[in-house]
Amino acid sequence: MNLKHYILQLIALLVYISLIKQSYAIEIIVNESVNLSKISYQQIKSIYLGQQSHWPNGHLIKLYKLPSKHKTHQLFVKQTLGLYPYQFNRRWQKLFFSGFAAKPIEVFTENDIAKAVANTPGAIGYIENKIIMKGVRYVAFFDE
Amino acid sequence: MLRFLMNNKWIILSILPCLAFANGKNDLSFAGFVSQGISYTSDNQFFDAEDNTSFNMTTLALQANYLFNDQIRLSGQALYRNWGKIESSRIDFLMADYQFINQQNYNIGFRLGRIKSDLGVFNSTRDIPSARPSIFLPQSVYQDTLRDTTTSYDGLSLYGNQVFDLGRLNWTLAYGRYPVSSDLSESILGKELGGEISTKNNTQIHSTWESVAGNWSVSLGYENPQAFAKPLFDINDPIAMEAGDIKFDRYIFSHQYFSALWDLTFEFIYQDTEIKGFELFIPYLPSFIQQPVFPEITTDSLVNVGFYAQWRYFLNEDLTLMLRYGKYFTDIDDKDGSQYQQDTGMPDFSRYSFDFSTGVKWKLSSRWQINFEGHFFEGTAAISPTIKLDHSDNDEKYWQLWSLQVSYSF
Repeated sequence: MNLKHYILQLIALLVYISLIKQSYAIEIIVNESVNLSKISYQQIKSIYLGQQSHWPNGHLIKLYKLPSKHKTHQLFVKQTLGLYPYQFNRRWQKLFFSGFAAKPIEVFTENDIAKAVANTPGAIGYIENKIIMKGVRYVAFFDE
Repeated sequence: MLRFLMNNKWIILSILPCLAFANGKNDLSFAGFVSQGISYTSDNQFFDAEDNTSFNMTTLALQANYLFNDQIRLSGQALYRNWGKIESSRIDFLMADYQFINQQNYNIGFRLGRIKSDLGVFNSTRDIPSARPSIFLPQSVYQDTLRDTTTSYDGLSLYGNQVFDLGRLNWTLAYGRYPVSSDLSESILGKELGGEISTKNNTQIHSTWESVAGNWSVSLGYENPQAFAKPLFDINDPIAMEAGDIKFDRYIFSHQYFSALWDLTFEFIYQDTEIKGFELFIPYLPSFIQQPVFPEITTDSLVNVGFYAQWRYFLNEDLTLMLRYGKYFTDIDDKDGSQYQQDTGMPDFSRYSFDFSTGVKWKLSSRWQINFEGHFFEGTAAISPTIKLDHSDNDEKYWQLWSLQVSYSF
């Protein structure tokens, strides 16, 4: 009885771990002009919460996002930033209407975001399905 | 409508040159909102002096963001407010922002111009329907009577953020002067006195610590605004007041906790108020006749304390319920106002205020929003001027405020 219980728990744990692994499907993309191959979760958070406005070399960061109700956006906010979508929206309302940060530029589809990032120096964006496009660089996460 | 256009002519005119600069580039962007509301006040003169039911509740804001170059960002917002007794148009903020240090774990920048005060969770967005929890902010911490000394300052600020293993720190150091309008003189002196008012430079320190997961935060802020007031009087007035100084040492502590379906906000204000001058006298008495002895208004340290707890529940992505309870005491050493009543003969309930509020916010779409809320008050401290001789406008201990507002943002 006890053994069965442990095995079931172990299976549940393994399924859970595999789900976590699978769910990390968000890819961070930057314009090829941005000299960056790895990024930490904390730095992505600083950038997407309007706290870091420029890249370390002094060039302006152009933020791109998908609409708030887009599945990929919600996944990005929950899993990459570790926030609830309402927290993300509220922070931007506050930053923007206080003048403390410029609003991210909103585009409608993953294809649009890849295109915009490819064509805008300093741009950063996120997608779920990898798209190979000239001018787009994929950025890996540091293991933390 | 014509009056509305006339009142806003400078806002409308200021759009034109901005449009001329916009060459279809992404470097310039506009945004704004319009809101109209209706409010009902059961008793007292919190909102509109004439009527219990008031439509004098219009807000209009237009903001522009302009990337001057790769380094400097300019942003500004014009705000028109017809809010009960007060009708005003002002530049809400207009500033240059330059973040000059950008590292993986820390950033530092500065701002110059008219800057929004970021003390407390809701101060910087107190007029923004989409970014505030309710139409009327908790009066125990965000008193509308003192809004001029908390909204935005002309000066400069240094700000930054740093990431640590256990969380992140945001900080601001600011120096500047709060511009004042006639609202403040009414708030401090009461409308029966009126007069001129000016402010002095103010230092502000503010920091927020956020947990690494982002599910809770604490912040602490301090500032010391100072106002100089010169009441006007007529030689025939039965009683008049000398000029005086009011100095605030203001501390605000905030805590927020976020979960998937609800969030909790707790804030506490401690305000040490120093009042100098404002001696009462009878103007028509010749100088050789001794003035009678009046009660002293001057105080070295009047400690105002206020706090509230607010719970918001998200029924779904677009519908939020809010419950809130707050208390405010004008004098922490005389919480029930009994000493004050004994000394001055004014009502004891003018020195405290308890407020239970409940409301709902419904986002109809990304642009439209409806708010509806009710406030139940005991006491009138949150709506009484700091120095006031006449409480006959606010003579009900128990009163209610109901409000409905529709907003459109673009």
